[in-house]
Amino acid sequence: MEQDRISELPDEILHHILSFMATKFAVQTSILSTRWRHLWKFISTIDFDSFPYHPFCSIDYSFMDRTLEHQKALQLHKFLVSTTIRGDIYTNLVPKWEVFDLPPSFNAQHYSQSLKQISLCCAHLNPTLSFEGFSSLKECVSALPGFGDEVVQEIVLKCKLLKSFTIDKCRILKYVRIFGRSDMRLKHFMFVWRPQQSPLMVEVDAPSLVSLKFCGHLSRLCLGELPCLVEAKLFHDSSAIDVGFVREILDHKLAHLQVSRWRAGGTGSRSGGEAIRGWVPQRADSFGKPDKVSFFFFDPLISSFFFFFFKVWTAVQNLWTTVPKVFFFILFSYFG
Amino acid sequence: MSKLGQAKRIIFLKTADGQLFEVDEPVAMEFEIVKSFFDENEDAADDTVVPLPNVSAEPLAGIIEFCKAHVEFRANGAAGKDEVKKFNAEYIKEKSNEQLKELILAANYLNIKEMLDFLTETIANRLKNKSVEYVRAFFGIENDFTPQEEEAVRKEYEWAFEGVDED
Repeated sequence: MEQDRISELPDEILHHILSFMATKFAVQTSILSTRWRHLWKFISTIDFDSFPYHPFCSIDYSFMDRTLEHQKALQLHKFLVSTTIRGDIYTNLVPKWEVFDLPPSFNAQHYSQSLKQISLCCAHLNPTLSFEGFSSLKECVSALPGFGDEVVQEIVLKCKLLKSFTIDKCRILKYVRIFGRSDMRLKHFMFVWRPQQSPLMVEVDAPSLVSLKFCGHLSRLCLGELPCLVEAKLFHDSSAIDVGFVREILDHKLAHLQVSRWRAGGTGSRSGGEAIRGWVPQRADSFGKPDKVSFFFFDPLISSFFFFFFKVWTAVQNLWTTVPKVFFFILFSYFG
Repeated sequence: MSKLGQAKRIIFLKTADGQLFEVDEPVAMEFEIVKSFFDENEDAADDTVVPLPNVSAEPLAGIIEFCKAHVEFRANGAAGKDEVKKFNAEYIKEKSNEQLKELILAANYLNIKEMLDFLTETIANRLKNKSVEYVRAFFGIENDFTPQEEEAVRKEYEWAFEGVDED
């Protein structure tokens, strides 16, 4: 009898429940019953989180296209696309990060009013997304290789409700400016930057910023007045850490500061790691007095081992696909 | 609401199984259905009993507990986020799936938005990483497809079923 009663729940509630699920799962519920057959089409979330990705095989992404074709929701709150592989090491090691084209059937602009959360990883947007009308956007994660300085600026200026902003794997950025409005609500800013040849400059001046995470290599970081900042995590990836850069962070009253770096190699008589280790504990008192200062140093040996292993692996893979198998056969029979 | 000025008003609610609940006004007004009852009958006497023919005592007690806590959180200002989360987690921890279903049905009938949001998310979390069959069992859904129809649906959304175990 109870089982009959649960069917009294209106579609909206079932939509709401389904909207927390990955889109693939939501589509699967279409076989539950005739009532559920079309339910998933009206949910306000598109979540292709952790869809399959393989660096050596091409994967058919047309399922995304087909799913989006069925989409009938009037409003879309969440749009998430990302791959299963997220590890930093991995993105570091895969030299050409494969990207796929987001199907044209997804027209983000169409949902610009209602989208609250957007997360795009490794996708090409065609045509390029304009963030002009995204008035509800609260959370934005962008890992789009074609993401330029002006798009960052546009998001910061146009999305008035933006609370959380993550930039990752964006390769053509040169000068990132997170400022421009006094009524900015940005609370969390995270920046992941891979070792690059070209210099990068980041300027952050957001009055309500609470947490700042930085990972990678940069030429210069400028911080404006950040009265609300309580947490800063820096994973610096250059050979010598810039002390002035940490000082700039410490100038702000931080509750939690975490500085870490890979490859503690360093040039000159004193490696960056030592410089920091020797410097911060004394100075931390005179600057913002963080409650907790912690450092992490990854063993350079381990990371270089992984890197070497990966290089060998890709070389073997490439060889296997490019060189005719006959060659191997001859080679093996010769030595055998 | 003409009686707003009074210090503390008690609202009487009567459940389907005949139990009478006495609820503080701000808590009862969380229930959209109760609120509209009094909006429509502005001249209702103080001791009017609001009948709730679709809700039984057990879920109602749970809902009152939840709303009471949340009204207090709001009154305390800021509604200390961690505190609310802790309460919600504690509240839902010992609830069985059956109780959860009863709660969501009642919350839906009473039309309490905040609680519905919370319950839908909880149910979604309990269904996450489960099979479709689990969802079927959870909601007690009867499969009214003919085998041919089911096959057709499976075929239509073939890509979604790839890599999924049949069990």
